[in-house]
Amino acid sequence: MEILQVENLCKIYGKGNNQVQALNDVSFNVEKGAFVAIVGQSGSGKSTLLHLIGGVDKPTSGHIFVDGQDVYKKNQEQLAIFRRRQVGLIYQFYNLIPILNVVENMTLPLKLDGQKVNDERVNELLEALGLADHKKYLPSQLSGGQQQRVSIGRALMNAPALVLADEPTGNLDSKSSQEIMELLKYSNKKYGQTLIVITHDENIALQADRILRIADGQIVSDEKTH
Amino acid sequence: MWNAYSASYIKNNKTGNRFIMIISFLAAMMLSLVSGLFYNLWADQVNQTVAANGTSGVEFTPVVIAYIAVFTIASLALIMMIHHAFAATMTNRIHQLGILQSIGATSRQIKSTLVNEVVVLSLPAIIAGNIIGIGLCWALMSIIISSTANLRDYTLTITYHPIVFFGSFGFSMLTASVSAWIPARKLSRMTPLEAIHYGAEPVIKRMKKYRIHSAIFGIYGEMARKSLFVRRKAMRVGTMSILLAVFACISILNMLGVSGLSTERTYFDRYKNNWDFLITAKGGAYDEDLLKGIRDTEDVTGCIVHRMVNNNTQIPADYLSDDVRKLSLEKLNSSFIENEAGAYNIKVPIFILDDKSFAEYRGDANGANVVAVNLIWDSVNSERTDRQYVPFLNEGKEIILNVNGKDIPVSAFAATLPVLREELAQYALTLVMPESYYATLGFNLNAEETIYTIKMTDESKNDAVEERLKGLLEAYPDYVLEGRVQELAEEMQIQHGLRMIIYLFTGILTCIGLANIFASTLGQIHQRKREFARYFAVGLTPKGAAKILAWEAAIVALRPIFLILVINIPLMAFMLDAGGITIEDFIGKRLPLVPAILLFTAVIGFVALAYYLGGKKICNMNLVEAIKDDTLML
Repeated sequence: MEILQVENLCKIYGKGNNQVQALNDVSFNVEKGAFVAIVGQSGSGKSTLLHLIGGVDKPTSGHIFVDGQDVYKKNQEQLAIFRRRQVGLIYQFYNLIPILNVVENMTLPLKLDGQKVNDERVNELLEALGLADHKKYLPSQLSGGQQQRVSIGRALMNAPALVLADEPTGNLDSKSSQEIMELLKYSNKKYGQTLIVITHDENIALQADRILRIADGQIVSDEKTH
Repeated sequence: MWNAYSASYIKNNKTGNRFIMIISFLAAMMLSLVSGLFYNLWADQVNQTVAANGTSGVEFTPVVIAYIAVFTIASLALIMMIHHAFAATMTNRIHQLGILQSIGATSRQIKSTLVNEVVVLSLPAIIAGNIIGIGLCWALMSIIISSTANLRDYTLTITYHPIVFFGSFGFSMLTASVSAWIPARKLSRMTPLEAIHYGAEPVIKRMKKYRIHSAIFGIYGEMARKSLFVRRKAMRVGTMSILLAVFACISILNMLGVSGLSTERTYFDRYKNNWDFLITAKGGAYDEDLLKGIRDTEDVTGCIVHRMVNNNTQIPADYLSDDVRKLSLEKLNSSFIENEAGAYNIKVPIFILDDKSFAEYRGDANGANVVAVNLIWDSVNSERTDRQYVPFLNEGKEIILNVNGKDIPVSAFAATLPVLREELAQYALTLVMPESYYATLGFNLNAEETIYTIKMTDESKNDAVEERLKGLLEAYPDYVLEGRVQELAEEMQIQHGLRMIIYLFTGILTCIGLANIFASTLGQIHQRKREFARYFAVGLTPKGAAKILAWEAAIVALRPIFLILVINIPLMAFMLDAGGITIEDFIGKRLPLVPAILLFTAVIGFVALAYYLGGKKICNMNLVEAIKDDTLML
């Protein structure tokens, strides 16, 4: 079953002579529970693609369907709820809320949704992420690797259908990078969540089930690794 | 090259520069206004001192200390406002300047670039602000002079000195330059790489728990409160100024209200039936001719002359009334302590009246020469505000008091004093006697003053009677005439003048506070966009963002109001109780409802407007750009 359908997606930034075509007629589908790596050079359009899938930007044309729903038919309010419930975004530089501690950061999407926090689920994730002893720490008191774990915890907390990671290991040393990838793969397998990772690191891409290569705003290859 | 960089920065950063120029203009204008007002009020005090003492120099009266305190607070707040406006934008540029540093700019070049930029941006705004501030000062002083004209017996003119201009202008420019220099110095201590990676937001090492906010207002209230905690330094000047404004408006006006009500009650309720005019002369016996002249004056219904001397006497326990003995004198008044001989040492005020007035006071107690006002407050069984009295001395017993070495037999008792302005706080024992009897005692006790208490037919004759009395007093240049109606009008005008000053300072502080709130709300828009970009990225809706901002605005606007109201409730309860004023009377007549509503409306309205404008910019941001920028900066 397909969780994500991208149809004829185009994104143009700027106007007139300053126009830049970030994405040009991109189409692909992703099966539920898949682990997909999107690989490309800087400026190839891979981050733009992820932002569009995650509902933080608007395409110039084309459609994105998540779980059968056209993402950009939603208004601002509905898009925010979509980001809250259906996708989990992980950024290279974590984007944690500096005024909230580890647990508060992880549970923020739930609280924004008015949902009750399931302490059992929080503790289970904290254990899995190796953050059980850092519950009350503020982001500034954590290392880069630990901050990225919190960011993963936040993305997984709401059990979203789609986890989108933009260079999740780009700011980490090789040991932390591997740990983060193991965690992402673990969540992909254990919770059956669809995982899309953007990277320019071939070693990380090779850990995925499928690799989409993007260049100059277009998919240039789509290959299965296993 | 660096000049080219600055020129380009100024050209391409119009919004930020406009903000700096507006803040510089507003702060300089208010600093100039406050300095000008302070100079004028100070000059007024100097003139008053010269008029009173014939010497120059200012006495540090409470009014002068209040002027200095308000001037200092207002000036510091305005200087901090300029500093915050510059500091916020300059800190944001450390990243950018780090790039310049990395391509070879020296610290000195960067410092001079920043300081030059500040001069270019703020100089015209500060000069314009100062000039308009002088104009506002002129206008306000004109209002003050015309509204207080009746309170002064001298001419108050508007004055200005170039030093005031150069002072406010110099401080404004100095603050702006120092605010640019501080980040430049910070930058010189960093490596270019550190500068490039320098985040515009401070690293948060500590965060308070706001459980009550969280429990009552949910996640939105909690985030609003935490965000304010992080930005508390930038907000401090604004919130403190508003707090002081609310304090001045509510607490001081309340105190003035109680004082005004008390004055009104004194002059309307207590004095109305006691006196209309008083003539005061230095001690000694009264002047028969003057007394006759007063009593013969048209529309004067009566005149009592009295003077008062103080002495002590011993009261044996068996002189005390049964009531006092039952209640115990020590309990009724702890200052009365029984001595070893079983007697009490008691102060005795002696009122000496002219013979005619004494005869009228004595009434049917024919032949009595010494009347004792025989009442003591039953403080055991009645409250201060509703006093009940019991007889002090045993009226069935022959009372002979030894005063100043002479035995004075008390020949009659009374429940009240003659109708005079004075009221005795302690009625325990007061003696009233005529001048003729007092003369026989041969006391060498001097009264400080002799007072002629005059009543007239009705208040409509006030001016005519006053003129006639003034005519009589032409032969007595040292005698002082006071009129109750005139005094009440003066008291009310003084209260009015004080209220005007409070309104003025409340207005200035409110403007400073609100300008600071605007400065910190709109001046930190870049950081706030990044803060909200993170919230939006995890699913905060625009409505949710509006909720957070609304909570923040509510906390900023309502906290000082709530705090001052909470302080004022017990304070006012105490003051009303002490003044014997009922809460209904105060609310009905003196509660500063209109100024409070105007102030609250202005504070709530303008804080809401500042947050609305800021919120609009935040919600209209490009989320991807904000997130990208975030990743770049961190």
